[in-house]
Amino acid sequence: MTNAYAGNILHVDLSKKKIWKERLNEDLINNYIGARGINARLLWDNVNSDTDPLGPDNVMIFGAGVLSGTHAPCSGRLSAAFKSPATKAYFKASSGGYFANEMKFAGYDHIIIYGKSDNPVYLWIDNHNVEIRDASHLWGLTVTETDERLKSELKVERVERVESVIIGPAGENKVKFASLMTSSGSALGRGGGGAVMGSKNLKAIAIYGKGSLSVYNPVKFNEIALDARKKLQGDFFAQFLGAYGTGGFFEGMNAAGSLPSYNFIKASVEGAENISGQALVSKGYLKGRSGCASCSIHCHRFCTIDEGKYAGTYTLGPELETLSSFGNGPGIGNLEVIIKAGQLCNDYGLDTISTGSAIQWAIESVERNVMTKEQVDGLELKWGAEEAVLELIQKIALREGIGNLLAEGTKFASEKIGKDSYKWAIQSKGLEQSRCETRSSMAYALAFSISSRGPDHLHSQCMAEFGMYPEALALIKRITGDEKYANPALTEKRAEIVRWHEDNFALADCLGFCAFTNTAANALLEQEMTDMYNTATGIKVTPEELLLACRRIITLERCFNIREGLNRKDDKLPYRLMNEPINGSDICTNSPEILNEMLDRYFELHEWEVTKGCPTRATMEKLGLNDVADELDIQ
Amino acid sequence: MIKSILVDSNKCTGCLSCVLSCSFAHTNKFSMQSRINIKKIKREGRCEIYVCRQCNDAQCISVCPTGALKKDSVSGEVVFDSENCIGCKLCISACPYNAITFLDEKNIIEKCDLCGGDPICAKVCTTGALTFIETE
Repeated sequence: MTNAYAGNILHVDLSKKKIWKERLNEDLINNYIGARGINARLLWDNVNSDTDPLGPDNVMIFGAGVLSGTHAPCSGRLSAAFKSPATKAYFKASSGGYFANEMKFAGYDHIIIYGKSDNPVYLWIDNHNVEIRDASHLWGLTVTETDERLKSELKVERVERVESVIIGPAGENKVKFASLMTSSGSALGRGGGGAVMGSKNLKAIAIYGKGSLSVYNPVKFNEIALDARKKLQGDFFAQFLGAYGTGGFFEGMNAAGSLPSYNFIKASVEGAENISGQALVSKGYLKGRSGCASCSIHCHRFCTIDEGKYAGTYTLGPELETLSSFGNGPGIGNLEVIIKAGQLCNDYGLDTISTGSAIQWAIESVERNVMTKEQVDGLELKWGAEEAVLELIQKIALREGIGNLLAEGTKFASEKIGKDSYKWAIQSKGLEQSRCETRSSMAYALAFSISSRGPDHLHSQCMAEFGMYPEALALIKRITGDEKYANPALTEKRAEIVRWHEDNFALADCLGFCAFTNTAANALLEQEMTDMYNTATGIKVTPEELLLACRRIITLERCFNIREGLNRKDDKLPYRLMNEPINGSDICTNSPEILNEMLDRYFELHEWEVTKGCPTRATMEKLGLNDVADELDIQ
Repeated sequence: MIKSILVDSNKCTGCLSCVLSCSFAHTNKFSMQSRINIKKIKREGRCEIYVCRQCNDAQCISVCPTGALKKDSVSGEVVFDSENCIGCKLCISACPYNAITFLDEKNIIEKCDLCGGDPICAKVCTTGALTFIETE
């Protein structure tokens, strides 16, 4: 088998209680690289447009990065793929932590879960021994409780090393935005992967690997990986993220008027400095920093509350998205409430972004008298309502009262309540938008509108368009020919910028790298990644060849959604962002006209047909996707 | 000049870069079987680092019945000679830092050898938890 890959796919059928292993074939490696790419192909092959996302026919696929398990910096990311109950379309979710490493050391690049168990179970992967075990004693437990219980009953030499993907009560209750949580507190947060696991009666997958990984050229790989670590360590963003976490960006975004507040009505708030990543440090909540496997940045937080009402709270986080989802989003300025909200979401297994967004929609609905106090179970729901927000999180996870409606997602809830409430449902394709003000950043607007998983920052993270540091300016010049395009207000060249970033984001996802290496920061680019890939695997490819494979992956993901009936009409942003200006400005900069101009160019660049955004036969043949074109009946 | 690895567990984030690099430096393969180990105490958000401190008054040397462990007076390293190891594990029990591991397949122990004077664990650690510095 090729070096760096573990070489196997683990198949688990929960309906038939069957487990088997298959060698990872070289066609998959050559065409789809690994992790997200191979996941996408496996998902395409294993589900179809009739598959109910919460039915036994859906599959849950995990993939470890090709370089996960090595000391390449920030290379330990895990990718999951499934048909989403939130979007009813293709979904990839990803996280840091150590699960991907343990998969590689146990001997698996990918795990596919099929079917549905009759009773609650968990999967125990002790290296080559794989068992489906009863989980009736774990059902109903929180994520932290489940992890602790598993570690107390599993028998291995170093049990603290056992890493699990776990669902909380929200996943069991099939909340449409239930997350998959890892033992190490990282979340495969978006798209409702937790609900898919819940629908299969699968509470957790626990893994412990004892094997080893070889690389093709150890001396050269070591040299390149150590050099990459040095480059990343010298990167300004990396150091900043280590100090203040992703929440370190909070105050700057606020000052720039791009911090979505009050359900995207405003773009900044008073007192942002009290609820930022810096505040976590200065106010003493931050007790430790956490690094994912082989990380050289250490942006993950460990926070505790030691006194007062929420004393005893401890959580890995909060991240920028959580600070904004439960802070300036619903108008809360109390950092302890935000930390508590993050902890509740992590323990119930809820995506903080979608949960916060659904709650903000409910608050605005009450504020506008579209929903009554009775409809929200008598809660005092209004902007800044700290206790009501915490209570709503629990109600959503347990599907109690109004929580049962919100658990279906903001799209469904707004359709059910009606009365124009879709206008403040901050979702598109069924996914709540992440905390990014796309009205002041055009590449983000385009990237969010075409993302196969919905409006979110983990499809192509175009940080360079702001031109905040020399590497960003250099990159924009390389992509567009001129540094002047490092300007987020421009629509020109956004398609080029997005395409570069989506290709490179896919490359990072396939190899297991964090976005803070190459797209959300720019210390390592395609040449460095290709050098690491080649010396680790022994495969000889150019950066262009790897990026072509990424184009194949993105096109296949697009085709998945076309098979589901989606097309250009769905490539849009939430209503508010396309129709209402940010407060204080005259024009809405995410208007349909502006998006359409960028979309036209984007589809042209991809050589996709422009009216529907559907890949043409010629483009698909060039990418070797003939069989996919046949299945979609593209002439 | 004696240099050794200075350990500050408070700075460790548990990224395992040192563990993976150590296994790679000694076997050309990446694995969790390493001469440095990290235990994460999740509830407290901290880590413990287990690696040889090259003690001056080394307990492992005192208890070793075969002389397989010796102090190098020039480098200060506690040197392990696998030829003389009988796999009795007395050193493992004696080490106050949990820094010695046992290799089942070879029936011998293994411990940090400072990578011959340029330890990779300190090189890959970006938190300051492991630094290779002059101590005497």
